[in-house]
This record gives sequence, C-alpha cells and structure tokens, in this order.
Amino acid sequence: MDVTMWLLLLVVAIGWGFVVRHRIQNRPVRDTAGRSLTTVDIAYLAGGPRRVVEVSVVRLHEAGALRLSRTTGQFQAIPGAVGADEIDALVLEHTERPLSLRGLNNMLHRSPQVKAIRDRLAWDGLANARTESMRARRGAYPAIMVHLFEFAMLFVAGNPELVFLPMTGVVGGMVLLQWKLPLRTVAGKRAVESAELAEPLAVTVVTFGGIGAHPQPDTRAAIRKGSVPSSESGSGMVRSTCAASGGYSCGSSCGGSSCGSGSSCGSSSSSCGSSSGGGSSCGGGGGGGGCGGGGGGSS
Amino acid sequence: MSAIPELGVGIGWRPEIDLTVERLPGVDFVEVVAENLHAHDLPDSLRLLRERGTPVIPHAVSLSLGGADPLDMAKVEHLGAVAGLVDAPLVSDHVAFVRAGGLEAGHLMPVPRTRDALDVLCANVKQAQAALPVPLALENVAALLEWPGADLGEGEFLAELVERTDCWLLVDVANLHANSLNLGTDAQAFLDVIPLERLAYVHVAGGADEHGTYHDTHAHAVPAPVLELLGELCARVRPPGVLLERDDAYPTDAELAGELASIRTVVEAAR
Repeated sequence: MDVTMWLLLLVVAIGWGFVVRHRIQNRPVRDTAGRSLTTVDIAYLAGGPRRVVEVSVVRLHEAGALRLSRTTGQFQAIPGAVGADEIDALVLEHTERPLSLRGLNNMLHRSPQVKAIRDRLAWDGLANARTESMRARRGAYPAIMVHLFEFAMLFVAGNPELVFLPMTGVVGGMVLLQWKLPLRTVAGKRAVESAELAEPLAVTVVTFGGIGAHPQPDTRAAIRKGSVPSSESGSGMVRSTCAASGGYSCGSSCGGSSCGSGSSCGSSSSSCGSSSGGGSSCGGGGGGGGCGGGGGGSS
Repeated sequence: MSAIPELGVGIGWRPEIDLTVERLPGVDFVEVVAENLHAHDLPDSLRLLRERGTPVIPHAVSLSLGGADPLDMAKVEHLGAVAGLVDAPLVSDHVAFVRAGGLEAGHLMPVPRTRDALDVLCANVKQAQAALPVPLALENVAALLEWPGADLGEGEFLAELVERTDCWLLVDVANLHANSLNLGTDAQAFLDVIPLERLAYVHVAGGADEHGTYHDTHAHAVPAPVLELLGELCARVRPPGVLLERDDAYPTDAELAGELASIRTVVEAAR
C-alpha cells in the first residue's frame, strides 16, 4: 500500500465519523407542535441535567416553597408545598430535611425524572441522549476497523516498518470514539436562543446562566456557602448543634455527630438521648422523635 | 437591680429560618440557643441583626441549674461569652435539670418542688449569676410528670426563687398550657402568685395533642388557648417582650408573619 492510498483511506474513514456526527447534530426536529418547551426543557438545553435541578430549586425558592438558610446554605421544603412538575416534586421530597444545592444536585441530576427530560428532548431532535451517542460512536468504527485491517495486511505483506501509518488511523478512530457529542443539537441551541420564559427574573437568569448568575447577592452567597464543607464555610454555628430548644435539651450528650447539619434533635416530645458521652444519641440526623426518655420538660 | 429593656415582639432565631427572620416585618428582638453558637464567631445573619440594632438574647438549655451536681462553669462561661458577643441585655435558661450522676437526660427535667431542691437551685442560680455579665431570667418548663412530696406549688416555688436570687422570670405560656392539660395545674393560679414585676419576657409556642397528651412541639401553629393565656398574662402586666418559638416544620414566611401579628394583637389589646 502506498502513502497516497493510506491517506485516502484515512480521510474517508475519519471523514465518515465526522459526517455521522454532523448528521446527528443537524438531524431534523420532530414535529412538536403539540408540546411547547417548558422551563426545565430550556434549562436542560442551556446547561444540562444539573441546570435542571438548579432551576427547579430557584423556582421553588422564588415561589416560597423552599426556604434557604444563610447560615448553612441549605434548602428546606415548606411542609405541604407543591411544585409545578415532577422535578419540583423530587426536589421537595429530598429537602424535607435541610440539604445544600450541591447535595441535591449530586442526588438528583441523574434521576430518572431528569433523564426523562433528556430523552424527550433527544426524541424531539433538540438534545443528544444515549442513542445518539451510540450512533456517533458507531461512526468511528470504520476508521478503527479499516486501519486495523490495514495494519494486519502490512504484517502479512512483510512491511512492518510501515505500521505507523495505519496506527495513526486507529488512533484517529479512537479519538473519534471518545469524542462526546454536545449536550444539545444545533436545533437545540437555536431553541435556547429563541426561548422566552414567563418566569420570575431569578428563574430566567439561572435557566440561561446557571446558579452563579442568580441576581440576589444574599441568595448567591448562601448557596455558595452550602457548596463547601461547613468546617470551611465559617457558619458561626457549633458543628453539631444540640437542639433548637424545642422542648428538649441535649446537653453534652450531643457532642458527637448526632444532631448536626443545622437540624434539631427531634420534634417536640423527643429529646436528644440519654447517653453520657458524645455518641450518636439522636440518630438519623435529627429527625423524628424517640431520642430519649419521656418525662422531661420542655422549654 | 438593673431593668429589662423594652424588647417588643420577637422570634427564636434558628439557622433554618435565618433569612426569614431577617426579612420578617415586626421582629423587634430574637433569641438564640446559646449552646449552638461559638463564643467567638457569630453567624452572618446574627451579625446582620446586631448591626441593625436588633437585641439578641442567648437562651441556654444545658446549665442544669436545678441539678444536685456541681454547676458546669464552662457552660455558664460560654453563655456569658455569647452574651458578650451579641451584647445581650440578658440571658435565660430553665428551672430544670438535664443531668445527674454523670448521665445526660436529654430533657429539661422538672425540679422537685421541695425546700431542699429550692436551696440547691438558688445556690446554683447565684453561682451562675456571679459569673454572668448580664441578668439571668429563668423559665418554667412543661413537664410530663411531677415529683412526689412537693412543699410548694410551681408559682410559689418560682416566687421564692426570685425573692432569694433576684433573678428574672421567663414565663412560657405554652408550657403553662401544656401543664394544665397534662398535669391539671392551674395556670391562672400560677400567674396570680409569681412576681410579675420580675417578668423579663414571655415564650409563646405551638403544640399538638398526641395520644391524649399535649406536646409542646414548637412545630405547630400556636393554638388559641395559648394566645388566650398570653392575653391573661398581658392583662396583669405589660411584658417587656414576647417571643414566638418555632423549631421545626417551619411554615411559610407569611404564616410566621401571621403568628407574630397575632401575638402583637394580643399584647396590644391588653394595653
């Protein structure tokens, strides 16, 4: 095989990979006349799965359904609050106890509900999901296969000194194989650029710019505080708070990790336990009752 | 004897509702759980409130002033340090014990209302007062039991405590309500007997009935009987301050504002 032939093969094989990717990225949009894009759809297209969670959190916070602590940087759902969609419901469910946005995102950005948004947008031709990734990867196979074959032929023909030529093609194919598709298609990008949201300013800004673009400095700072470990964030609170005084006292029995994260030891009739040391008398991060014996007083 | 300044209507500051407390209209003062704060570093929210001039009262839950064990002076000193940090006009804790014999009860246990127990309580209170930079107010607790052999009623017990120690009173009307339901005590008689001129401020909180027992949960709306009891108290004396305690199941800001408004209405109506 001469170098010209090799070059031709290389261009065709690698080029095929590019063609496949281009076709995926520019595939026609399905007729979605019956369904307009929602805020979380736009959020996904603008920033991916984490943006979906961020937008849901900001929307709930703006609606008064989620409370944010300046001290801990954690969000907590208002009891009985109802969201606008299944992502909101998921966020509310996971913030029954205080949780930072970072924690929420780590738990939810790969949830089935968020994946469903991705899959729906991919079906519409606006985003790329697993199917499109597989198709793009398949586009790299010819480059790898052809050059592996070429590699073998060179050995059979007794020209091992030229194996670097097909190896270049194999490496090119491998690069194509690993090259991730963008989150959204060209049509998806256009959809974001033309989107107009009927949402509060904070929701709109975060949808397009991410949580770091939140227009309220207090909120932005609190969220940032929640994204770093409490030991580094300087909350001014004792790390393992004993109690919020609601009808119980923890004393030194809460010296350990029993009642941390800014939550109290329990509700009303419960206490923080009866241990004399610094153990885990309250269990479960402070929810519920049953931490101690009855008969005590309340503040 | 220093006077307690006019405090107005306030709410318990908790980290979960710090931004709400900052933004709520009609919050004249706040109370913080002293044990949850560092003695050298305030949360930003409390710093902000102090900058605005909002009084902050450190409220302790673990001094165990009614206990027979020697007073843990480190806890008293911490309370004093927090008081200094927030420039508090006073501090408070409970007429209760929370540890004995090396064991932590995890609860505010009621003190036996005997002469001997009163002697111990008074000695502890005087020792704490000597170490504190500001006046100390003590709160009546809600109990689910009463120790046998009481020499005094709760009101008489507190009256004598005040007389012997010159401490101030923090009257929790929700605890009075709970005790009247659970123990059959007479809240009116309590109010008749205690030295109301030594009243520093008042606690108001919500609760719920569960299996025939009223729990002072601080996680429910303030029930009407508690507000009525507050009205009874305000008809007798003008309290320097009245504070809403909410520790869990935090409702919307509007609901919290509504509860504060209800409290203010009761206080104003008695004037």
